[in-house]
Amino acid sequence: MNEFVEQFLIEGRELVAQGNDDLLALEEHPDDRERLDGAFRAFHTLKGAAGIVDFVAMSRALHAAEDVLSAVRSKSAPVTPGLIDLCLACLDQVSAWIDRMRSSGELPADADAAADDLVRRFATLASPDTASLAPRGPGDATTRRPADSTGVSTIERDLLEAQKLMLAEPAPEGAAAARLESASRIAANVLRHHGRSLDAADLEGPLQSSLVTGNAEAMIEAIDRILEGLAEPAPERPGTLSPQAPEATLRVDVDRIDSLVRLTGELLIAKNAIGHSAARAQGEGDPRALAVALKNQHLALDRLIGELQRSVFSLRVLPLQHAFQRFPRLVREMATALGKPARLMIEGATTEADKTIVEAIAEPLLHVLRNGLDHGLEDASERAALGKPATATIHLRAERQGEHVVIEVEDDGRGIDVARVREVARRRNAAPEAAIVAMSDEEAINLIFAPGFSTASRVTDLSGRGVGMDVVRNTIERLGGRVSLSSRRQRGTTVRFTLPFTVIMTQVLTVEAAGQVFGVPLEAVVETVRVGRSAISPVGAARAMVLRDRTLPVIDLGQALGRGARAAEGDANVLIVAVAGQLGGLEVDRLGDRLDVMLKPPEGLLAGIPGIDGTTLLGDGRVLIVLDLGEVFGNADD
Amino acid sequence: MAEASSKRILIIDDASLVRRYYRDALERAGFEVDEALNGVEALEKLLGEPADLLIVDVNMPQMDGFTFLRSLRQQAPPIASIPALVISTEAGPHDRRAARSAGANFYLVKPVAQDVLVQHVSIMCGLPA
Amino acid sequence: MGYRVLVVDDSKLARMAVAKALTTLQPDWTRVEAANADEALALASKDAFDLAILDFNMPGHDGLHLAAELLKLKPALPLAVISANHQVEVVTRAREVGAAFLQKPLTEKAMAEFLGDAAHRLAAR
Repeated sequence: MNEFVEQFLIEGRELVAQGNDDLLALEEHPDDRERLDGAFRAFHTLKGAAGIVDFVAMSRALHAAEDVLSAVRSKSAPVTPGLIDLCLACLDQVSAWIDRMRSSGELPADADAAADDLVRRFATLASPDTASLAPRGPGDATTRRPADSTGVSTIERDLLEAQKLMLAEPAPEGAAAARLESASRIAANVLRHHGRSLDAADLEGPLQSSLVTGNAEAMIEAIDRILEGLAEPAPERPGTLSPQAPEATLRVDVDRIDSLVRLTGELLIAKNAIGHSAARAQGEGDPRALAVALKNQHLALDRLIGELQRSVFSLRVLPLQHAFQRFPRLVREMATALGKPARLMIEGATTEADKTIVEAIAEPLLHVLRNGLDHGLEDASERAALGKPATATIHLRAERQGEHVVIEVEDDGRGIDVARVREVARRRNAAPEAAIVAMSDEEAINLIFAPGFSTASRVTDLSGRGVGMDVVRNTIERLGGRVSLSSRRQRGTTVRFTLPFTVIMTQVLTVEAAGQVFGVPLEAVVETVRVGRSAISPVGAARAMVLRDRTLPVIDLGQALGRGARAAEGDANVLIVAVAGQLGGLEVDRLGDRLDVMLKPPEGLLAGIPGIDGTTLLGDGRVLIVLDLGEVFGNADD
Repeated sequence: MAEASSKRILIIDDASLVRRYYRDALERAGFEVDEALNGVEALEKLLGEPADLLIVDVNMPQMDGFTFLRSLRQQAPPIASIPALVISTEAGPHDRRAARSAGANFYLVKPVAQDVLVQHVSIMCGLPA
Repeated sequence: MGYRVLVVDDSKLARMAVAKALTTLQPDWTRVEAANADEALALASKDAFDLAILDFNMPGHDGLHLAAELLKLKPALPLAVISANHQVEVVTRAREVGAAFLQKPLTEKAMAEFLGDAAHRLAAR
């Protein structure tokens, strides 16, 4: 990918976000000149950017949008919901194109049709006479759906497009048949991957026809039909997040880079000092002086690596705006779908948080917003009866508080009915009866985070997704955060996420013993060795081995877990670990991978058990127990 | 249902480090993996035992990736139609076009992360999502 | 010796495009960049440049406004205003302040004409 395309992708995304913002604000305040100019400029600059990378179709679509906005600027056209809709749809399309370019590195091959469609719709908008005659076709009804919510991965789409491109190239003598067949195999495999193995057989006809006529057209058409089939829209479901690829590029402050450069310099000095010590050791200098020098150098390295770690973490900081930017639209769509007018007010979107958190937070936040709209808000007539404003307000706030980032979602809806929460919790066995009775109201409200709990009396289109608030809590806890909830009857509900500002990762090495997987903190591991089991000899009740003239105690992890002792044959995998300045050997059945994990203190059943440093949730949902080696070796001495 | 273990992938690259990098990722995902150092060796191997997918480097001694692909597509069935994924250092449109013209089914630009490779190979082999 | 060109555009991509054309046409010329009118004016007071290429559509003051301000500081400065839109109004106003008008996407030909003309004027200074 050349630097122009790279810059185009970065700038494109920012401009789409800016355009979205301005358009939504403009809809609220049609007279806001600044927002109008901002929106116009976003489209204009996007158009210019498309021109630079030769993306003609995109330029064309944006030009049409720009014309319409230009008419609004010169006061010859009003701001209408239809106009905002269409401009937003245009930005959706641009965003989908950008996503595809990022994964394929090429201009999307079929952009012309989508661009034509947009141009036509802008033209219809511009001349209302024909607009009133034009029927609202299915195309209009789908306007607001994000362009990439089709359930098909961009890779699948790119693979199919690539087959079309290849078949369109003239084939060298004698290679046409093989090329057709290979394209057909890929197309069939994409279908199989997509769970549509049966349809794969339908490719046989077009393949034969292309082979016989020596013309790839039939095959290309067949692939086009697959692409259309894959693009069949998913059932209408407002308020779902279209998958967004994690950001591959980060914008970083120059200051932060400078601090890394400085650290690199210091590390270099530390490295040279150690080299000098090594030379001295070779020259058989005074061993005690050497030990002191090495110890000081180790301390210096330790400090530098700590600083380096902090500096690198600070590079990974992003404003929460990245996660928030799609919410105004999504809330608007959901509110429309539910027939409950609501407005989202965002504060503190510039608050920064670790990239991991910014990228993972959108999904749980959306779930909370969706729940609030669906269950928390009264409908308009109920609100009117209560003397509340017809349009509900949802606040989304983010704030840095010391080492934490706090994100709140507050609505002005009906609040949570504690009595009902207790009743449902009882009925669904979310907690023991006695505990439910003993809980204060505040504690009882938090029962909604219990697995499987839902106070929805009816399954609505929006929340009926089989995911409860327990998933929200799990996600937040995996990020090292907490969820809390407060609510006042008829006044509203506040859900609060308290998240760490920096995500400190611990490196662990996984090991297997007695059929279970454990983590060992990597910082304690000095080396891993494989020795004959006969080299590990009993010393009293314990065992020991000799490593480079030193005798080390050896603990068989499997045996420590209660499995019987092993015969003294074969080879043993031994981790040499440093615990409180002492070396020891930990025999395990198998060595696993290195992982970066977020360690949580042990809780629940594990809390009282010695030898456990903490736990972490693995990607597949399993809990990995990380061993406290101090305890493991300490107990062995007893 | 198809499984990775039933799919044989042939990596054609002269750099041992690169072969090893791809091989590690694919083997961890369960694929059967074989290697060839250049186009000539690849053709010899394929005549012995066909593969489900080829991963082809462009810049190789003896027979470069594109020459290899052109020659492959002119062989007798069944090896002629084996799908090929070209992995190149060049990102430009001319190189992509040259790959298509030689009969490459897909084109990725180096460096390719291991998970990205496995994702593409899995779909190209028709493994269930 | 080459001349020094001020390039003002809020889009970095657009600045990169101008830079590429400049490097191709006049490899010896150097360049200084600004992202908006205020930055450009701040530069004008401390950095010497011989000609300027300004985007029309920028947040804050537009390129024509900036052109007028720059000409107050350096009356003989060769100037071009570029825009993705060939609006008659912009073209006319550019001409009125004495700036050339270039359309985006920038073609090498248009750029070569402007640079050639500017070099001519600068040499005659």
